[in-house]
Amino acid sequence: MSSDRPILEVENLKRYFDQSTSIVDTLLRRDREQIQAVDDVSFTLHENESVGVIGESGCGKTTLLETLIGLQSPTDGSIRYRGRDLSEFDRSEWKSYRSDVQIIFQDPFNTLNPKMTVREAMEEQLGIHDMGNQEERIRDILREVELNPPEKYLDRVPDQLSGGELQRVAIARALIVEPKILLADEPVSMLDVSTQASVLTMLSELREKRDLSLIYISHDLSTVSNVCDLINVMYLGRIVERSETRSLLEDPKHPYSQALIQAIPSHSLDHDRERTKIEGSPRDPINIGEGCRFRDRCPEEMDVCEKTPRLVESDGHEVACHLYYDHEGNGSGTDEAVQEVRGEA
Amino acid sequence: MSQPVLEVSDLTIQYSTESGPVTAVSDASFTIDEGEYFGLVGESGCGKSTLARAVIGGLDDNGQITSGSIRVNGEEIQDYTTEEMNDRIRWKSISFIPQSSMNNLDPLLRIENQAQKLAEIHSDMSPEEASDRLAEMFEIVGLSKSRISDYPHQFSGGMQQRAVIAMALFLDPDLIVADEPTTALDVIMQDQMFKYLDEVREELDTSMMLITHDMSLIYENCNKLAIMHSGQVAEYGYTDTVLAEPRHPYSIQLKQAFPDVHKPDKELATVKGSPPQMMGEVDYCTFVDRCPWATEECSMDAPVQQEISDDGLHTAACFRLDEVYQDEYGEKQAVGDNRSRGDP
Repeated sequence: MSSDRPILEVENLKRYFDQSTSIVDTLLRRDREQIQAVDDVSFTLHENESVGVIGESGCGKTTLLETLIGLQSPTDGSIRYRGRDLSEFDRSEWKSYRSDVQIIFQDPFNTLNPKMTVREAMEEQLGIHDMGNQEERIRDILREVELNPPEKYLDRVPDQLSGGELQRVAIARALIVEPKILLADEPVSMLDVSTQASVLTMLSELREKRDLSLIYISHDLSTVSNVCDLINVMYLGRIVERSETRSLLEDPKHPYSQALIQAIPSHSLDHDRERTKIEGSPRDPINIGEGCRFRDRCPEEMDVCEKTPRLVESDGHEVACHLYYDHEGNGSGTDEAVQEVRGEA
Repeated sequence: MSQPVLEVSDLTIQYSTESGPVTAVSDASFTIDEGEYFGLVGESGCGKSTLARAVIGGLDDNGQITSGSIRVNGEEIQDYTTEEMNDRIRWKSISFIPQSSMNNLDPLLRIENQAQKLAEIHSDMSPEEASDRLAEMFEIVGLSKSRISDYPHQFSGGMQQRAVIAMALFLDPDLIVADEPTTALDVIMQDQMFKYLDEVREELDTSMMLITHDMSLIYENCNKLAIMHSGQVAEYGYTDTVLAEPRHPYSIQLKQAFPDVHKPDKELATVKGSPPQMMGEVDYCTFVDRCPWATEECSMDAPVQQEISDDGLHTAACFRLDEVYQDEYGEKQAVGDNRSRGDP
């Protein structure tokens, strides 16, 4: 990790979607309903850092990733790459951003063109980004992702490759343009455990060797914790906790993070756990309004939870929960209640 | 002991394809006792879903049981016709929770009516009795009784999942076959579901065959397990024993490949290579190409289950069990005191 200026800064990023409305709604001038997929998310990524984002499906993690790479434009907030705001990019800046930031998707079976051989897929990528010396680069990168010997794979089409091999090709295609940042969207969730392990290990090694920064998105905490230094926990569009990996696993602060870690089955013989106490499922993020979004399922719910909690520092974690800060200056008069709850805990 | 609920012996299942028969399951054997939760774990394509389908008589048209037997409560069912399966086995003796089970409710029928239909075909319950029975099951899985007349779309994903469990319990089966019942769910929802299954286990004597690729789910929920690779059962036994000290090379590697959320620094082992295409007769160990201990012998003949403990309740199919044990666990003696190893 370096202490320099972060390579990527995300500030108060919002991405809302309009619900499709019927003509009747339009005629009656009803308000459009908005889905708040990503709401007020801020974080930074430094060089060589690997940051994880974890959350249930539908919490907005994929939308976040798509916004970062420019597939979605932010509703509000800013994304800065090396200090420059994405919204001020001109054509050539976009082009270099798109080779500096590469993405690997969840489903290796559908990300590659079924009619292109491995060689063609690589050549296309190199062609778009005007990189020469193609043959040598392709062979090198295939060796690096452990598709050895490259000759064996160059002329195959996706149909002739296994899931693990396909994901390696997808990783090779992302890395061949020498990106600075790699975005990974559940890269191993469709692979078998045995293959999963080898892809994860390879990803970690490549990251170190190539000085890559990584944003890794998943719902599976056990794979995230294997790859990432820092983890963001996301719930319904907001980041509720951020902390260094080990400390998050050992001492989660936010009630949601606690529930999430508690619910993961373990195969360690020395680990006993109780079943989750959380009831119900997340709400739809439609016109969801003020307040903590976890409050309807939270075992610690208080009156003050009707207000949106901000991220505050607690024991080296950043937590968005009213349990972890007193509300002086807010004039909310709920400090005592908060203290009380903390005292009990 | 009473008669096992399910007894699978030397079962071989082949699919006929354009390029000849493919052996999806070869010589698989295991038993599930009353009230027992049995886990079947293995990589995709190892034949675990084929096995599940064979048990409920739901193999695809080109699939066929070529040898061996499946006994349900002592009765051989592998040659039953669809009518006989419907009449005697399905839903009553064995019910099925499929993968992404949320999509398995009829979207056009109220859940109550779906249950009544089931009752009409598989039992002599009246529609009123069926509704009462469903309401009872709804309570067990944590759904409100008043919602039995809802349509599936009025339920959230997790509630639909629970409704499917309620339906699976509906005719009081002896065995529930659940094929990756929670892969489509988030961990918290998954844990909720198993919490309800815990209650089911306490209240009814139902057995379960849980098919999954997630070893931790089996460790937490099943008494016994079988580990499969490429159609063969590698290892079989009590969950505690097998996971504390796996003996088959595949089980050993699988355990080491599994990331553990409580040990983020764990070095993950990898199983190199990919499973073979099992064309025609399988007369070799299907793990031979990927096994670090393999010798010539392993490609000459298919290994049979060998007893590891004297009671025959822990078996592994490998020719080189002793060498593997020496290499993995060194001089340590006695299989019995394996708890001490656990995770270093």
